Amino acid sequence: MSIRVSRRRWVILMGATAPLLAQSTAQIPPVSAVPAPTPEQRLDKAKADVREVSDKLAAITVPMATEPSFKFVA
Amino acid sequence: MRKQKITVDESTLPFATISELGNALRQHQISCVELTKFFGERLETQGPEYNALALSLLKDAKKAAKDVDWELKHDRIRGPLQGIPFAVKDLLSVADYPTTWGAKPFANQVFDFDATAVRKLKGAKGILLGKLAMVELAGGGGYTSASASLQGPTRNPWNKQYWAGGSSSGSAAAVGAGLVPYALGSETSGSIMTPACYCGVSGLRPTYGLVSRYGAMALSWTLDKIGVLARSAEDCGLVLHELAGGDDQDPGSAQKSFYYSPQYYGDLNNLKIGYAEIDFAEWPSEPLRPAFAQALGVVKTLGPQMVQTQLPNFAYGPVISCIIDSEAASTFEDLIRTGGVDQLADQGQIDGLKASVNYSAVDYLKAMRVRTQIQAAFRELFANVDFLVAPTKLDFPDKADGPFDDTTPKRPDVKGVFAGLVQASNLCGSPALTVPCGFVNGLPIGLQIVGRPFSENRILALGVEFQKRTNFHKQQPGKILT
Repeated sequence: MSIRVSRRRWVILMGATAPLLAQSTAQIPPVSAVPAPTPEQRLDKAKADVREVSDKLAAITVPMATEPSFKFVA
Repeated sequence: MRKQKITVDESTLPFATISELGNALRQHQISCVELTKFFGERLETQGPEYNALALSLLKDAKKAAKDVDWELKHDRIRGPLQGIPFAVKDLLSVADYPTTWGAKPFANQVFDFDATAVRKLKGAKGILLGKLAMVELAGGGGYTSASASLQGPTRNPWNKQYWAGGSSSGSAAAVGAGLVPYALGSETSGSIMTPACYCGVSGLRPTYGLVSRYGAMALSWTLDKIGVLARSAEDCGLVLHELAGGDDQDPGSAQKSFYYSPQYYGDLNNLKIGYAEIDFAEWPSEPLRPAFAQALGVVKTLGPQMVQTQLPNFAYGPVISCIIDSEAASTFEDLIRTGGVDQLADQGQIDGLKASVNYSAVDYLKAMRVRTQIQAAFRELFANVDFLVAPTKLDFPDKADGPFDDTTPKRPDVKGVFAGLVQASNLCGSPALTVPCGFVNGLPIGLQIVGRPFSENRILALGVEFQKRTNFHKQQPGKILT
């Protein structure tokens, strides 16, 4: 047997059950949605951070005559 | 030997200044052996409560103290540090004792010589009480929690739930808790200023090259500095007086001396302070703003003309990150390539150090060329002002347990002096002083004063004036006076 429910009725029913659904999910022990990164993923992230810094440096325009502060004197 | 009686007040002794302790010694109110035992036993018993102690050297210290007592008995007065106990960050070598750099791969490392900084303070007849905990490898690679240390998370003396800051963690916690009158730390970018601020002590990062780094762990050759954490700006000056000076064994040495002479800067009225109202009013997290506003109010009474200033616009973060990471990758190349790096406590540091070998020569040279531009811009800035003043930190410290909060707080779009100041002033080798400037929820906050290279006397004079008008530096954990 099938019950026909109008779209409007469906919205009302879902609205009424939402707090109950929220309550029941809140009682379930939280499970991290994001799995812990693998060692390879962690290292890849660190390498991506290095690349990001490199890209930011590459975007800076420095006059050709500017020498690096090799002989560093404060 | 006849046992002497302590005639000074033991309740105030842990938080006495160098001058006060020196006077007590010279007036024979307390012997150096008694003073050494007093602080040494505090350090041994309370140091581990904060995870601040790496190694006690109390046995050797007592022997050195007996020599000082003999000198004092015969009126051989050497200087203000004579007989004053101190301790050093475990990044400085002390002959024949472990120097771990806070890191498991180096837990058994022993050098056969004292670092120049240690040798100088011993030469001034300071009493070395021990070595203090630090963030492993001074934070090279970037760490993700306070546990990144051989001793575990260094706890804040004002509230043990909070971190002491890093990487000179043990130095700040030990001074803040009254376990030593002063301590040495080091800074590459923020490692003295941050923990000094969080632990409510005064911290001085000298000009690059003013204090020898011979015998200190290298993280970044062009940025590393050895500095002081102490009870007051004046104490920082007294220690720097002995610490500074040329050293052929340090290629970065400026071959300059430092004579602490604040009297020549007594009249601050002709000087100019660069600052930005927004740094005090809007950049700090909300609970800290009223205290920073009050601190700025005090600064405005010190004499110098206040000049609204903005830091030159540069990509300070990427520049300093590339320089530190590239130089650290070279310093620790063997550790990284042999896999020894995997023994570090912090996974973020392990990954960060491994990844840092990927910087190219072009990246590094670009960063160093931008640094040249930053230095030129700062010279121009300091042609118009004598000091830059800003909050040292904008927020409370992270919690000691668990990972650091890595959410980025919302800050104003408009920048003043604060944003980028730690990186910029380190890139320029500028000296900086942080002094406690208030308390919020029982935790100290700090004010940083930055000057042009070799202007230590000037920034110390401003710090001393600030501390004449406030009592934040005299507060003791658990006994905040309102």
